[in-house]
Amino acid sequence: MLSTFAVRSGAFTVLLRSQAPRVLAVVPVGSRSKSAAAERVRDWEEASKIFYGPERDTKNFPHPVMADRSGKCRMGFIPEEWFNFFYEKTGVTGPYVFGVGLLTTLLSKEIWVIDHGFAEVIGFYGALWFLTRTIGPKFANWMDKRNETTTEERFIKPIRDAKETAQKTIAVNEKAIWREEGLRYLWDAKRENVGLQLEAAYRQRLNEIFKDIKRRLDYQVEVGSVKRRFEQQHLVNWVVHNVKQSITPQQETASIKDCIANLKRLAAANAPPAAPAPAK
Amino acid sequence: MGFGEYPPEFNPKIHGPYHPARYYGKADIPFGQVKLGELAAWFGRRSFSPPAMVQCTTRAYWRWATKYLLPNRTSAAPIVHFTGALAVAYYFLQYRSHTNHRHAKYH
Repeated sequence: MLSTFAVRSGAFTVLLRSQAPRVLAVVPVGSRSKSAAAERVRDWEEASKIFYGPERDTKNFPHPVMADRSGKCRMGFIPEEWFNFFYEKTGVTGPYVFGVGLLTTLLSKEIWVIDHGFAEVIGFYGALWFLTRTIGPKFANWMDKRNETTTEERFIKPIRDAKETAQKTIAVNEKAIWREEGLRYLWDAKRENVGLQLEAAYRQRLNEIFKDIKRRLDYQVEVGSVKRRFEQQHLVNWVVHNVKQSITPQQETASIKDCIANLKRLAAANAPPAAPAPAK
Repeated sequence: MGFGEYPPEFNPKIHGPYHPARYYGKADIPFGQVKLGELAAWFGRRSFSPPAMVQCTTRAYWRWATKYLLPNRTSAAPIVHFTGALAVAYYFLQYRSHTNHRHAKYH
């Protein structure tokens, strides 16, 4: 409770201001008109509506503007308008004649008595005149500079800073809105990614099943072929063995004799023609 | 119209922001343009009631201040005006003692 008051009262604005602007919460559209800035803008618009509406008479009542320099004066302090007032009726010398005449009347009738205080008038206004002439311009320059720095520090800079902060906040918020829009695509991309993963897992399993079945079928084929080869080999071996056992020694010699007879007959049939007798 | 209130003639929709140096009533001929024969009639149209006098003084002060004292680059004129007016006021405040130092009895 107390901390809420402290934050709201602005006691910790120094701490809060040093932090970068950030989005604390996404503000719904309905409550946007309740922010302090929006209220100020509305007040400003309302004031402008009152002060600069269609009924405003700017011709007779122009907007008051701060003058750059003081009104024109002659001899340092007598307003120019008084001389203009006399100029229409008495010419250029009229006001001076009137002034000198007034002074003469005051002195001669002793309304302005020349007493011990008269020297103070001369001294004071003499000193003022002297100082205005000597250090006046320097003082004016110093004052102008001071004025400029004060205006810059107290009015222009705070407004500029506030504008910059507002611009930064606007930029941050706009970026957040942009990200929020981007989330839609991100969601789609994620969903697609998950779909791809599911597809990959499905295909991998299909491949595993294919490989397993092929391996089992290959095993069956191998088993069948091995069995058949073994049976064949065994039968061949058995036949050869039995045939070898059934041959008797008489049969063997008879067959050898037959073979030799065959070979002789073949040799006689295939004998080359008789070569001529070699010369002795 | 009480203290701290705008004049009843003041209407922000027509006159804009309030300027204390301005008279929002019906405008009369300026004093500098009044002919001598019409001077009595001109003064007859003026109001001399205490509130009107106070308002007139306030307007005159603000007119003087906006013209000489409050511009961006102020001259020495307002200082001379202020000190001069103060000197004259004090002179006439102690006028009796000054008259004691007169050099001539008959003028």
